[in-house]
Amino acid sequence: MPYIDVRDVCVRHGKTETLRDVGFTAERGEIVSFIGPSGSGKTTLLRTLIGLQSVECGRMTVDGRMVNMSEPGSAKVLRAQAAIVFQQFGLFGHMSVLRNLTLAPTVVAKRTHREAEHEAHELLEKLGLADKANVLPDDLSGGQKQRVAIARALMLRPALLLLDEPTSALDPRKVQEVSSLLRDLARDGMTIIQVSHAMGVVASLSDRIVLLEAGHVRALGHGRGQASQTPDIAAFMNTHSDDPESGASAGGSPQGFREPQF
Amino acid sequence: MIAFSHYDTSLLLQALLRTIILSVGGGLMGVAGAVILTALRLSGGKVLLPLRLLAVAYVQIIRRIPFIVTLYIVFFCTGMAGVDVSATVVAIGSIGLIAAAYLSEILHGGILTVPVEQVEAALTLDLPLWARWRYVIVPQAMSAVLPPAIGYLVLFIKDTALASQIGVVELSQAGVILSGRGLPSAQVFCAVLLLYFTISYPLTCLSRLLEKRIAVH
Repeated sequence: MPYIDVRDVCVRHGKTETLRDVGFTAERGEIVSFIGPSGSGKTTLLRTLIGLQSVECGRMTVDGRMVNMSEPGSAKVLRAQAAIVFQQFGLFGHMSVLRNLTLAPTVVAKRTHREAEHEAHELLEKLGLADKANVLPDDLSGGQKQRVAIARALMLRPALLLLDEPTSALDPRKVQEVSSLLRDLARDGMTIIQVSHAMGVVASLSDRIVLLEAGHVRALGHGRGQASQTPDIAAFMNTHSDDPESGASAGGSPQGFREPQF
Repeated sequence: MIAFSHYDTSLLLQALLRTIILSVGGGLMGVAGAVILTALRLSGGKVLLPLRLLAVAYVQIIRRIPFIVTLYIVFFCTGMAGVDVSATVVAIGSIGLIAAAYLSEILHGGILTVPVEQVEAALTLDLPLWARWRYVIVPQAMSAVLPPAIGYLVLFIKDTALASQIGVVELSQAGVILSGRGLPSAQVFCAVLLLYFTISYPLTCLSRLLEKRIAVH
């Protein structure tokens, strides 16, 4: 049985059907990427996985436990497993970076301040932000905020990490560092689901790729290094590798997207 | 320059104390009422819908009625109901009713300035309701709430003068009494002005201090 099995997710915004019968699976420790044109429902799908989006129908099995996503209590179950990094980071601007990281562990998980702060400092150091612990988020660059947001999510020790454009604000060197971190986390058993326009990162990291189009799954690719070879997915990635948001330029590889070097 | 007699000074100080009681009592009642009204206005679900509508209607109506009218309504209604309370209590109640509506509007507006993304981030961290308010919403809303709220409290210290209309001897009424007893009006009301300033200025200082603290955090 897969670690995550999502089936028949339907989301409506008024009369518009944002997601229609969407489903996919992921094993523990896999990295899944949602790709697709703007407005195809990628972020909406990510939000459903952490209970931020009310769904009309859909069920999800996480680690063998069935969650009816249209039931009010489902969000609690999903959030006990998952953490998310928003595209706009969602850092609390009135708190220091350190407090952003330690708030949930101390309040929700009841870890001691000392323990949480120790772990936070370790994570910040790992992400090259050791000197930013006492800084307010507004005083950080976009890339630094993104890494703080990732660190905050990791402080929850989630089994499932959801990332909305995790490398969009990073320079190429930091893209490599964060990608490397994601690989390490997946190797340690964390399941990672990302929405990304960075085709190079998607191609090199993903064990599975889900191509969404107009709210439904157009293609599924499976297998690290193989997922991006699925015809529809390859075609999409080729046409979008010049996308300024992609974080990788075209050319250099037979697929037209350049894989980052680790 | 005249010197106030012991009796005059005593009258002024008692009136000052009554003005402070009206302001503090009405203010505290207003803050408590504003929190309840705002909680109802922000509540969701169908169960609380009637109370939510009632809270919205209350704020909209009370804010459009002059203070003096509310004061008379409360004064005569308590009289008709046979409730035996002093004019000071009636005045505190009236101030509280009005302050609750105005402060609720300020509080509600301030809370709505907190971006929805911040609340969603708190939700995804699985923070319980109290923690979302304590650590995320209230601290961020306060920068939008405190300056106008304290500004309003300073304003209504002055409005407590209207309590004299139902017989409460507060600061301005004490000025009228002293003036009527033959003391020079200009000097009497200069003394009244100074006393109003003495109680409202610390609030302005507090507002500045809080704004600075909020800016730092």
